[in-house]
Amino acid sequence: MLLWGAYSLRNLWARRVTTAFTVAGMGLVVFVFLAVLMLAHGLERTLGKTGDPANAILLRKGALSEIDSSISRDHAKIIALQPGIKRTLEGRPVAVSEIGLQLTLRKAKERSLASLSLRGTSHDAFAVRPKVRLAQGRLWEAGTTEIVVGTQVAKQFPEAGLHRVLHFGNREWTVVGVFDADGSGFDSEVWGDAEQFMATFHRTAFSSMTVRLTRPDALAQVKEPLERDPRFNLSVKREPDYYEGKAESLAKMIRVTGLFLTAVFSIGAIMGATMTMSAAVAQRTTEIGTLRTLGFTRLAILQTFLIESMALGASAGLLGIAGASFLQSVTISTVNWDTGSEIAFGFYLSPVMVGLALLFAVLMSMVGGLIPATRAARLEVVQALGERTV
Amino acid sequence: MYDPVVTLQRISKVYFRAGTEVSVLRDLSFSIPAGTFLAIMGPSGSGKSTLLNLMAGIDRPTSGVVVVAGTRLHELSEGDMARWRARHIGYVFQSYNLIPVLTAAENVELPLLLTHLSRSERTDHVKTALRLVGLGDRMDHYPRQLSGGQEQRVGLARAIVSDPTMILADEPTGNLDRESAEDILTLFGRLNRELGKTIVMVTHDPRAAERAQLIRHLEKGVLETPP
Ligand SMILES: Nc1ncnc2c1ncn2[C@@H]1O[C@H](COP(=O)(O)OP(=O)(O)O)[C@@H](O)[C@H]1O
Ligand SMILES: [Mg+2]
Repeated sequence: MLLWGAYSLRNLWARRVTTAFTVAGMGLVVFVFLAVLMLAHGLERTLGKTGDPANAILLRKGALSEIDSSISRDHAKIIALQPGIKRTLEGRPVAVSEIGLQLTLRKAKERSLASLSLRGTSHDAFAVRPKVRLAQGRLWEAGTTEIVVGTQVAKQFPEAGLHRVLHFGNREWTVVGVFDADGSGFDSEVWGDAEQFMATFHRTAFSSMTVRLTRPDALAQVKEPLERDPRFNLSVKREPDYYEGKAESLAKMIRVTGLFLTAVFSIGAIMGATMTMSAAVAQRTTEIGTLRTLGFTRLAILQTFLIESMALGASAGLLGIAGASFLQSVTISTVNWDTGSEIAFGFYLSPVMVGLALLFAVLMSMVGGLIPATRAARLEVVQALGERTV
Repeated sequence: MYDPVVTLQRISKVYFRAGTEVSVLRDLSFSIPAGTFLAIMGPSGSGKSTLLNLMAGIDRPTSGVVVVAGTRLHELSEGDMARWRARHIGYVFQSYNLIPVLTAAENVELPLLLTHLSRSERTDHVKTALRLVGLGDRMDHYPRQLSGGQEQRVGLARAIVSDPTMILADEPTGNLDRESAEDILTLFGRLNRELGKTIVMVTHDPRAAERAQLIRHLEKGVLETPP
């Protein structure tokens, strides 16, 4: 007992100005909704990509990040020999002991100061993390104050571009290379020789160790003995799990604020749909009476107007999705609350999000269309026809 | 075949307006034999439309029994009444009431959406109905592209396309010029004579009423027997 979809679409087209405004307003809400999801997801993805499932990161038990963790040089040597950690053909463990520090630099656009993650490491870092590769220049010479920067650092901080010289810790540091970490969080870091950083900042211990496992499922083989050993007081995590956890607060903040905004806006969009559909019902009262006279039931009338409203929502959804898809090329750089350091990340659109956005749009229009559609269905035939000769 | 098609037993219709009762139909009883072309006349406000709407099953009497096509209408639920209308009633409106966003063919197809006919069967029926009213060449025109007379012929095609038991028309020529009105009345005559359709037409135009087999006058809520 349904009318064709063409009937709804042509009616929307017949009121195209009102339709366009309603679709635009609702589309904007879908856009905001989607932007929020894309941003939070982009952040998680960036950090989730930071790290390799075949790697484990070792920190002092209870440490929340590399900054407040420490592993002594002596312990580092023993730990590296643990079975389950991969070895090179020459028998050297594929492991790297690193020190994490913070560095304050000026950003390009805002001219504001921002904090950067500084990683004192060794060339082994590239063996442990095969996805990170040198993009420009060369690696630092061991025992020198040469450094390399991630692509996002090079992009966002002009002071830290290739061949520039940075001043920190009363020493001069020359940027000799730029590395590409495949869109992961390492792209927002500065890497150099661990020994140089330790000397400069008067540190005697490393912050963390990252080790490559013989197989991804060899985690337990490394984790259990090391965490049990009272000498080390260690906590062992799979590398991606550790980095993903580092974006929780920021991702949550983006979601909460964004979804709150979306909720507020959606009230407006729903009211817009209600007004548009109420006007449609008022304008087509005689038509409703006619359809009822022909034998269409109240339910058919309800469905007809709901479908029309949902078509409005679906168009708005498609518009919002189209708009949001352009965001995919935008990169945002901001402070990660969990680390205090700058992190660059993009808007990431997934098929699931497209589906969610469409569902959200259709749901808004359904809620908005419900009252007018119910009113249309409730009309008495004779009253709707308005053929009273009063 | 239902005979009589319509039986009204002691019908009355009372409206309550601003605290006072307005009695529109008073204790009205009559029946319409199958195959009749009946014209109901009367001054404006005499209750002609009200009477027609009771027979069409889109309004209910305050008291009395309406039996149309063998069905006691007050026994039907809302939904059943709608389905009953789709099967038995073809309604022609004074202002045509075509759906502006649908073509002539789509407007005529509407009642068929409530049947079990296939798409191709529906198309066949629509073509037949539109040809019958002389608009076989206007299938894809929208109502605004048609003259008033043509619109009403589409309205008539819509009323007959599902082959209903009875055609009810409320001032079908009220908005038309003389010539278009004649066309419509001629079509009613043919439907009645050639296809044996029962037709009830409300009108206050004596020249229109003359084309019917039988004329009844409604005055002050009472149906007068013809002289
Ligand atoms: N819904 C209604 N409420 C109150 N009065 C009504 C209503 N519908 C019709 N009437 C009154 O009933 C009388 C008959 O109306 P109607 O059947 O339309 O007459 P006609 O078609 O003969 O002109 C009129 O006086 C009209 O004002
Ligand atoms: Mg009338």
